[in-house]
Amino acid sequence: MRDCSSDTIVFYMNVIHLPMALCTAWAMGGIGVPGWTDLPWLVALAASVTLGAFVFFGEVPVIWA
Amino acid sequence: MSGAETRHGAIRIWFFAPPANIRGFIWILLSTFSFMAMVMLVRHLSDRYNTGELAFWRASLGLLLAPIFLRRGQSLFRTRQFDLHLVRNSLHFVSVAGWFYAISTINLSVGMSLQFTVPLFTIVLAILILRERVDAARWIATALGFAGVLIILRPGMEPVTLAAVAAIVSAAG
Repeated sequence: MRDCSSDTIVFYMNVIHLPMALCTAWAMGGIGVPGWTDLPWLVALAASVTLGAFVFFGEVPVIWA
Repeated sequence: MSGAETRHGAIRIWFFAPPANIRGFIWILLSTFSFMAMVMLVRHLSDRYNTGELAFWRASLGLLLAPIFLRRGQSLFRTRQFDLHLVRNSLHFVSVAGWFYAISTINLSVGMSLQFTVPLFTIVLAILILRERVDAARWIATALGFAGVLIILRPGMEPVTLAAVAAIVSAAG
């Protein structure tokens, strides 16, 4: 029986990854503020992962079971 | 109900409307396209941002974008299995960091080939964790897949790089 929707799975993915990524970034030399020219690329990166994970987890067990 | 909520609801209805098999096909295709876009973007940004930075901006901006893609309201936060989310996402973070490092460093074709070891790890973990039975045909396919990894990495003939190891760890994660 499925407990969480894909929305919830993706939400907790980002929440739990955030502090881990922060520690990793500091360990690898710190975090810089992104320039305006890079911001669209970073937003596209976040959007592609969020959308990709949402559709990947979406109802998959129901469809393929 | 606001206009934005109506629009969001309409998108969700459209998204869930097709029959299950067609929906599965479309979703996997869309997911693959999204993850390939991610690979290209990480490759593009990796000369200015380290692996941790890319993972940080991915997660933080992903949270900011959540209202666009994800369900609204308290049901988004509702789970009875936060401990499983924690375990899954801890392993997944190792996978993400390994994958970002790998595609920033090695040839993309090699990295993608090593990612195809995912089914090999899936079979082994399905046996160990889910106690699934695996028939001879799948064992043969697994062995052939592992042989393919050895052909790509050529251990003993060429130095195995940290990035290649990171790609395999990422696949296992």
